Amino acid sequence: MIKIQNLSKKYGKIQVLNTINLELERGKIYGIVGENGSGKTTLFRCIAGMEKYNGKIDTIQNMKDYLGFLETESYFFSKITGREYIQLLCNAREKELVNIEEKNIFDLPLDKYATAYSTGMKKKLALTAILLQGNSVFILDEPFNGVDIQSNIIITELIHKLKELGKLVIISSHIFSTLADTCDEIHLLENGSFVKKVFKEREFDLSNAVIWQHIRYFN
Amino acid sequence: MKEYFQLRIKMLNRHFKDFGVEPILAYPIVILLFTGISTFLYGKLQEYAVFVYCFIAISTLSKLGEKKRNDFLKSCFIKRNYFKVRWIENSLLVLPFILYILYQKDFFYAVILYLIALVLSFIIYNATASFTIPTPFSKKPFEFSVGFRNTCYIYPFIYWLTYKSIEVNNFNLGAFSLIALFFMLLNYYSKIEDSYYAWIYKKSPKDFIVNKIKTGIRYGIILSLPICIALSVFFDTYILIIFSFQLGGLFYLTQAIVAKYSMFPEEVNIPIRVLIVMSMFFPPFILITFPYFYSKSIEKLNAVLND
Repeated sequence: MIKIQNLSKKYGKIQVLNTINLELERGKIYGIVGENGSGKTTLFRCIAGMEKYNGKIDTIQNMKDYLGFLETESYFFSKITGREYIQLLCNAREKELVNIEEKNIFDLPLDKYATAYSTGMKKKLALTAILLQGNSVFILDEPFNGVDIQSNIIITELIHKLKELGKLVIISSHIFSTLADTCDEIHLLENGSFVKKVFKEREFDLSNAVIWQHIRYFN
Repeated sequence: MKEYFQLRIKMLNRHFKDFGVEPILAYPIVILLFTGISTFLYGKLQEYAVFVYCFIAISTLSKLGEKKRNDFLKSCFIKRNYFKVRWIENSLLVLPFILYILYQKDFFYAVILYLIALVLSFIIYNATASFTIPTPFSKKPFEFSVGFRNTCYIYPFIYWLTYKSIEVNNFNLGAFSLIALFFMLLNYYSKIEDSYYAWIYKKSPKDFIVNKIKTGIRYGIILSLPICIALSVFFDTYILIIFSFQLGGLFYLTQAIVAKYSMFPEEVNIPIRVLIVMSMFFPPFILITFPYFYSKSIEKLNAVLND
């Protein structure tokens, strides 16, 4: 569904992504692991078409219009309510919004200003909005950050549900155990390049990779 | 405390530089603009100018009472110095207004305004308060719903000016209320949103702009219609002027929408702002500026909206 070939990205003289090659298929969940500044968000922004890059990304036509992008820190206008935020994102995709209360899976106070939400609530609001857009591809940049344990479980369940529905999901996270629970493949990004790839069916290898990564970060 | 104010000046200078004007030029320009606008207001509105003037001064001052800003100041200064900072800031901000009011010999209002500024230095308000201001524009967020909430306290004043113009039979005052309304609406499109909010749209650049314009015109009509109807009923000999003011307002609103995206996702720069101002002083100029902004917007949005 998405084929990334020799993707590179520079900010001035700084090479952020270096010759990335990756194939992503419908109905699978992919995890991207890497320390801060390793290029995860830049890679996501390139896939979403929000950044210019060198190389090639082959996708379905107008994939942007079917892509739900949960940013690490979503920006909210100062006086927009949760309900209006969801309305705005649905309007943008020409999606009619009915019975929003029933779809409020995280029980968010939708008539309060989004800026008054806690970090976790903001994340849940942004996630609810992209789910209601009815996308077929999801990029979730750190979806578990700042979210309480109960919501963490709901998000994990949601990701499994998206897989069942045949959606393509790409997630980045520092919580390795959550990635291990959800992902079919996990790719380790380091200094803008993929240096390791592990598969779900080889879970032992995966935990090895995680430990290996921890050791490297702290050494 | 001295360092704080030095830092404020540095920050202000950086704003001017980001805006594309050297601080050495910016200060005289600001003084000239302030004097020009003040003279215009007093010339047009005569005895009512002082109310408009005080209202502008107070709404500017109120921005300094925002809770997050004050929490920060409280964490930086001891209590006594915090109040000193608030008092100095409010006094400095209100000073140009007071000087002009004194120049106009409205001594009573100058004293009142200064007293209000002093009282406001003790007042803090929470911009992210739990109370949500209702808006009729929720179905099509975000410019009007956010803008309406940010400026909701100005609406009663604008509509009061319309009422007053009818009561004292002063058409200029009524026309001013209509122009003030449109200036406020133009301001709803002055800030560039995060590019994510354009990227999410499943639309071509042309459809995106047309959609924004449709929303702007629809809501612009809803807000300006009460003023236009009231003025048309009570100043029926000026009906053509009222109609042309409303049409002009809507046209400039449309231009503001198109101009906003002409540098997207960057902020609108000085040359663009100059062109907008020129088109206001010389309306036929809009026939050149509008197509220019439109083509630039399409070009810029193409990079964001096209896959």
